[in-house]
Amino acid sequence: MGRYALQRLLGVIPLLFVVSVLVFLFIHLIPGDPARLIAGKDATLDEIQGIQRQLGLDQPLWRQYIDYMGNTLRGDLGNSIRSGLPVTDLLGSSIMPTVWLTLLSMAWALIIGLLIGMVSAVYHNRWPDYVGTLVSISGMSIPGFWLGLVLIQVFSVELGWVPTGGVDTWRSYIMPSLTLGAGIMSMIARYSRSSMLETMREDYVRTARAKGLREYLVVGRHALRNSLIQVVTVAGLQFGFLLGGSVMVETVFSIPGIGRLLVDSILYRDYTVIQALLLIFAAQFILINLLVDLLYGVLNPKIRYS
Amino acid sequence: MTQHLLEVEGLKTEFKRGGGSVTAVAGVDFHIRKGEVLGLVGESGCGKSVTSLSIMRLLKDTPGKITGGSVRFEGTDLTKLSEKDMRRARGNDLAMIFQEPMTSLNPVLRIGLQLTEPIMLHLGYGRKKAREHAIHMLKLVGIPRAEEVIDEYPHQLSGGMRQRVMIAMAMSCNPKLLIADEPTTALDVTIQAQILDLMKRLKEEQEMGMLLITHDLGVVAEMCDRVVVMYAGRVVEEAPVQELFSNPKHPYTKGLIQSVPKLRQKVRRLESIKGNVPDLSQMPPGCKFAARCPFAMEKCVASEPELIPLAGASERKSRCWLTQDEAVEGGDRA
Repeated sequence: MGRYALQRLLGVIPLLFVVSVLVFLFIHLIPGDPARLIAGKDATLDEIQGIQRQLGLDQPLWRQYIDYMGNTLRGDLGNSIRSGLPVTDLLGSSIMPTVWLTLLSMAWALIIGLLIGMVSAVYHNRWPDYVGTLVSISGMSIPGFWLGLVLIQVFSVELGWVPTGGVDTWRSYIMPSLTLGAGIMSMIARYSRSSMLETMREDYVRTARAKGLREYLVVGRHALRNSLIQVVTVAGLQFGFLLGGSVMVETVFSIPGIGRLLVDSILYRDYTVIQALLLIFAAQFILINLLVDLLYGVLNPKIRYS
Repeated sequence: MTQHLLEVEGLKTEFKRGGGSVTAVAGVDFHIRKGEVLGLVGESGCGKSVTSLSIMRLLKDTPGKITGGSVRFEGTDLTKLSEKDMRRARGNDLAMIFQEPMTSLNPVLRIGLQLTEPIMLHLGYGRKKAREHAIHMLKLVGIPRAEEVIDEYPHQLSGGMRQRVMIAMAMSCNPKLLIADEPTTALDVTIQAQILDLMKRLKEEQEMGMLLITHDLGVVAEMCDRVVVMYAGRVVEEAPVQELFSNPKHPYTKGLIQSVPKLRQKVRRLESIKGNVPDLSQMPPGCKFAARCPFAMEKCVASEPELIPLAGASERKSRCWLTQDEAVEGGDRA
């Protein structure tokens, strides 16, 4: 397992390099000149060129990349064009709400999704299966913004149980994470149901029954782990997309997270912040994939040992 | 009549298919004595495996269901046991090994865990004692470096080794009856012989009864005391192994024996039984073998003969109109 983990970890390095180059190029290929934006409408050509020099924009692209990455590795992501504040400060204040939101969403989606999937598979084509299917199909088809608005209307406006937005108490996270997790929960429920059904037909499940094992051991020990291997892939992918989904949820529930920061930065063409956020999204995606790969190793000895 | 280890009587198993249901096992009778090996022979799809799964009541997660008859094990009808009591018998008094050693072990669990599960469950051993017993079992089935293998995963073992592990697992609680469903079909010929020898040795040491399901008549000749031949979900012939080969009564058995290639005989063409097993949902009313039988008469198409004990020979039965005149006078059909 140690060697396998090390291999995966080392494999991440070239990937991060390629992604950072791509993100850098994307930002620089977007039409529009940050220097012109900073200088304002009435600036002279001289003033603009001065700012370009100051930002290093007159340098060749590869030089700019090296400078940028060098600074990034030293923890300096530059200053926001819009507010002039260091990008790291902006990120620092907005990243935690998003992290909490995604982790909470993922946690409940995984637990409930797996439970629904397992129950549906064990009671295949009986009423618990139908209820599970109904719940998961609804979760998949209901648009998140609508669910969010309905939750606000019912639980904040009518009942007054939880705040409509913000991140002042832990209770503020309940509805946003419900909204964000609903779709993923449904996906996980569907996938774990079908992969569990497939696993339950395997020969080794019959062997487990032939030993006289109780049904909960047959399902929990012999079938569950094998079907998790497939579920982990889906859950990992969904987790990667969660941040994208959180843009919408953060807007609906006015959460000052990085989803909101991204939208605002795009609206103001705040290039330095956009670039930093894109890097973070990409790195986060890569890290989740790494996590999925490592989980494969934990779940499947065949991968670990080869 | 003395009580046998296993008495299967009128066993009927049906499968839901589409709207209706088809009968995979249509009233099967046989018995196994203590320490006896009974061969269950027939083509693919004749209901051999379903019969064995019905005895073990392992039809869960298949559309199959036992709809009639009884399976008495030491006098207790297994079909009437509660699921809890049935679990107590499975892996304990009744053990089973399957055809596919490559897929019958759980790929994500260590051999040790899979082996100790039934030992801890049925013999009530603690973890440590169960592990010792498991290592003992692995040695018994001839696995080298048993102390290491116990901590390995199935994919680290060859097919033959995995089947040995399956046998060790099945034998670990000293079963009184072992059901082996095509235990050597998926293995190389040399490994087949080793596994058969092993099963024979263990059977003699432990005095257990065995139901050996196979379509390989060579394996039958090697291993069995008596043979039951199945066709289309029915028993068509039952005989002690020597008599079956020297004097088969049912045309289907004759066909089976003729289709085995023989070394000393020079033949141009290998005999085979023409035609196919009838579709389970479209069974003919008469003898199910009539359409493929070289001796078929009008009577055969019209009505199905009973499985009747034959005179003279010990424990011979046949389900054929041609052998009806050899039947025991007023025969007791049990």
